[in-house]
Amino acid sequence: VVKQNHLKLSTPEETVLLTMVVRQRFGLEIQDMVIEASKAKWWIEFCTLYPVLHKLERRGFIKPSKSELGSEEELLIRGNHRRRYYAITELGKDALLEAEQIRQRLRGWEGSSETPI
Amino acid sequence: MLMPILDRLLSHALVESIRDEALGDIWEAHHRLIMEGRSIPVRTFVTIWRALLLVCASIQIASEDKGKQSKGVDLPTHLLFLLPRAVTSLGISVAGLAVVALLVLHSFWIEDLSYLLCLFQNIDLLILAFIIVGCVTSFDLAVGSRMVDWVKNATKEALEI
Repeated sequence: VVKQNHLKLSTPEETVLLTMVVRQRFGLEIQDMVIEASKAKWWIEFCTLYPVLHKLERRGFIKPSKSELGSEEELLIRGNHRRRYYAITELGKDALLEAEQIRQRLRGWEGSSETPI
Repeated sequence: MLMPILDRLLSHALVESIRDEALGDIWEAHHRLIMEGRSIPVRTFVTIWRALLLVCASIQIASEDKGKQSKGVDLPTHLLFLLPRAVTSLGISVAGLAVVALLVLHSFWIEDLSYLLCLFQNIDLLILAFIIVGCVTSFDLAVGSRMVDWVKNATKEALEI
């Protein structure tokens, strides 16, 4: 059974999804993007980022790519831990589209004529 | 020196699903701090802070998974006792809030250190969580195991009768 609000996104979820629209990203890169794009007004910390990524993955909005072996220098910098890239899925794109459509409808919403002022 | 120690500690504390990527990210973030020329105390503080945030993330993920799945969580067994009982410690929460209030006041006093200040965004929740977890852990270790033994023995005796 598909719930009616199965595409509903919280603000951090939407933010993280938006970072993956152009190409796949990994955790630290997402954090950097949010800080840079918001001119340091938004700050997505590790304690938010990984639970959000985990949740988006579980809901099928993002898909982790296979961990590719990075360059020797990259592995040295990362303590021999590989990057895990995430890419947005079609379902994730649908969720973003729906959020945007709702926002646009709300912007142009004049309200019901029967509603008393 | 700091990173290998943290790596080893975190590899026991983080859930399997984020372990490798999160450890890699914290290594890379530490390397960036070195490249930016941050001093050793700042690097150490920021990296330990991030490590604590990763533990918080791990607990949150394990907690959510526990809610979604009936078969349990993949949090390491020795950390399982951190999960369910924290919400019951109302008295400890009040003490935590007092500490948070002091920290917020303190953060106003050091507002010239803007780089460190931005890291204090989540400090209220984090400090509160750690105070609660610390106290509950102590309580668990001191009292919980005895209570479990007591219940087990009482049940055993009741069944024998």
